[in-house]
Amino acid sequence: MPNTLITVSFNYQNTPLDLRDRVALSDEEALQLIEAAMTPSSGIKELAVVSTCNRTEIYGLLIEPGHFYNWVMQQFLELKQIDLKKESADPTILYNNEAVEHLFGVAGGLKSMMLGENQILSQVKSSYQLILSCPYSFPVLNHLFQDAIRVGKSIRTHTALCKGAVSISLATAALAKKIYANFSNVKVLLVGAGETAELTLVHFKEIGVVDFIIANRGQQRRQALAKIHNAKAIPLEELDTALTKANIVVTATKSPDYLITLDKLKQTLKSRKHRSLLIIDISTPRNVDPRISELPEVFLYNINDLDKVVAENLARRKKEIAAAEVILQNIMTEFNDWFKTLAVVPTIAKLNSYFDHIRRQELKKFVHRTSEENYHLMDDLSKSIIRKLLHYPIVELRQQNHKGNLTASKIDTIWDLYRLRNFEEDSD
Amino acid sequence: MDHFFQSLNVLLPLLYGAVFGIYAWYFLQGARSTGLTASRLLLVTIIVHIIFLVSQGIHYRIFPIATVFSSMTMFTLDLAIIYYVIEKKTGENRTGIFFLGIIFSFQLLSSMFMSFGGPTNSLLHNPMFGIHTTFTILGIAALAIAALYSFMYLMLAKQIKGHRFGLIYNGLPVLETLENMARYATGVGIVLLGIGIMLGHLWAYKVLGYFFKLDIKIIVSDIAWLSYVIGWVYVKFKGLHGLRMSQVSMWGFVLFFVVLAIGNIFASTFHQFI
Repeated sequence: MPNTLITVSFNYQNTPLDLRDRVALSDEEALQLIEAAMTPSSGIKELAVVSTCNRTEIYGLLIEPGHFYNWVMQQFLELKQIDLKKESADPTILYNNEAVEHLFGVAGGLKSMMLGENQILSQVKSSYQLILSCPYSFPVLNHLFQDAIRVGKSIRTHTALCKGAVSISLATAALAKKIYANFSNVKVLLVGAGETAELTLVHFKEIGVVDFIIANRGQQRRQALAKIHNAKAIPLEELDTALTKANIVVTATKSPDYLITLDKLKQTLKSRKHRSLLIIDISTPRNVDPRISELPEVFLYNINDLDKVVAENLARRKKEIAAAEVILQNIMTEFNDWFKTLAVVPTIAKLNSYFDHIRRQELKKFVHRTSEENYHLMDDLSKSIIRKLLHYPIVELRQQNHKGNLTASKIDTIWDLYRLRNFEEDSD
Repeated sequence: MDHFFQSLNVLLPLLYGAVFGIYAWYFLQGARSTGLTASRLLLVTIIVHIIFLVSQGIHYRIFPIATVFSSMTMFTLDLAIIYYVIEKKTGENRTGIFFLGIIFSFQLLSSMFMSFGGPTNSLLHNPMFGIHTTFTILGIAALAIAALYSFMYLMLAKQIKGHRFGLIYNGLPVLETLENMARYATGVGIVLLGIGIMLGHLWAYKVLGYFFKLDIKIIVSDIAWLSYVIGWVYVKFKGLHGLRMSQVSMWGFVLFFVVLAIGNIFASTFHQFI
């Protein structure tokens, strides 16, 4: 009987953020879901979960896919007390080819909110590790996830889909990475303590910066932020002193005036012994005098420059979609060829053993009625007849399967014709 | 034996050309395996080059720098060795294209005009001279590499300042790494050139009876080395960084090279061996 691959996907395109947050599954919850799927009454043969901040997807392999979403709804109700019907959830449900293409696209970063996102591949790898850690054998999903990871790696190696920063804060960090090699010695001065400043701080932390100074007018806010991120907090009046120590300066305030002026910085550069200084001004209006870019040691970027970088990178990534699709389609064809053989292999095996069983049964009747030599000849002859009788049906089955013409009902007919379901191989 | 030297003389530019091609491909394409292949082929080429020069030395019983073009191949080998050592030390091989381009050009020029077995100065038969020359050329090669790293630093800094994110921005390593490489190569160059110059003076005293002679190469080398030492100390204690250090390093070497080249063309002194 052919199996059906199915996925139920709650993602940023079909599910609001609030519901997405609630349907997200931890590893423990995903394991509970797999455990529930393995009870015989569920009718599910294999199950896997991909859960990130932007998507929660459940992949299943089953014979009767019609009731899968009902089962999923029931599980969310029991596991997380979420009534998906009441929430009017409208997940995307995909079958076979489409489900495979979807997972491959997810792993390749083609389905990400931020095109070509890198983190998703490690999340798909984690999902794969999770199914490997289960005490069950999931050969189809195992193969599917292995190929998905292959797609992800291949796209990242052979195309530029995941290259170049595509957000302001990532572009800021990417610029810093081109100037400094060792971030454990780099001091970052944040002017402002708002949301943007904090987001930038987090990105710098991710690339290894440990030394932060937060300069802000409001004492409460700067100290609160400094406490959370183990940084040094200073009032704006001490900005000039802080500038002599910093390697990177990020300004993100709502101040209407320039906080860093050309004359002041010229003085500061002398005491800095002309070390390079990266200044990123993401404030509107600008907080850094644009004439500062004339100073040879200073690399100055404002929000417009970074926007331009982001837009260029995004355009470059979009150009790579076609090349990524080619990789995806090639691996998908390989997977589909393999998956199709699964549908027909059990039928061929069953047919072979059924005919061989009849042959042996009939041959047994002659075991004492003829010589040993003749018996061997009859054995060979019967084997040859069976082989020839089954040759064309098996070839046709394989060809029809490869062409995609072999439907479940056609296979059912074969099983019904020979009553293969009732046939026990060792029954004599 | 001449046939063997001729063969290696043809093989060397081909090998350096191939290494240059692979480094260029690596710079454009960025696959790690290509970088490793380039690095391995460079090592093989260096070994072939050493065999080429050592076998000449053994066969003719001289230090193989009798002509401008044999000195050039020696300089090429030294450049390749110093670059290879820095690459291995820093683990950074994206700059190979720049060095191998120069190395390949020098070797091609040298191979085209190379001659074997001509008349030689008796000085070249003295092993002490070989040691002096090896250190001196190694030192100059290291300083040349430092200048090239500084040039790359200036190029990349200009790209970042101008908000241009093209091939150079993507292909070169980070500014700090380039600065460290230049600093390291300068340090190595000062030590090696210092040893070379000192051995030269000692040897001159032993053979000729004086420490110093008014020879353009000696004067330029001594002044350049002293300038590098003063510059190094200044940078170390004054804390000169990035852009300024790169400018000093690059233009300093350009000046040194130009004066040395002019001196070599116009002055006919005891450093002229034929």
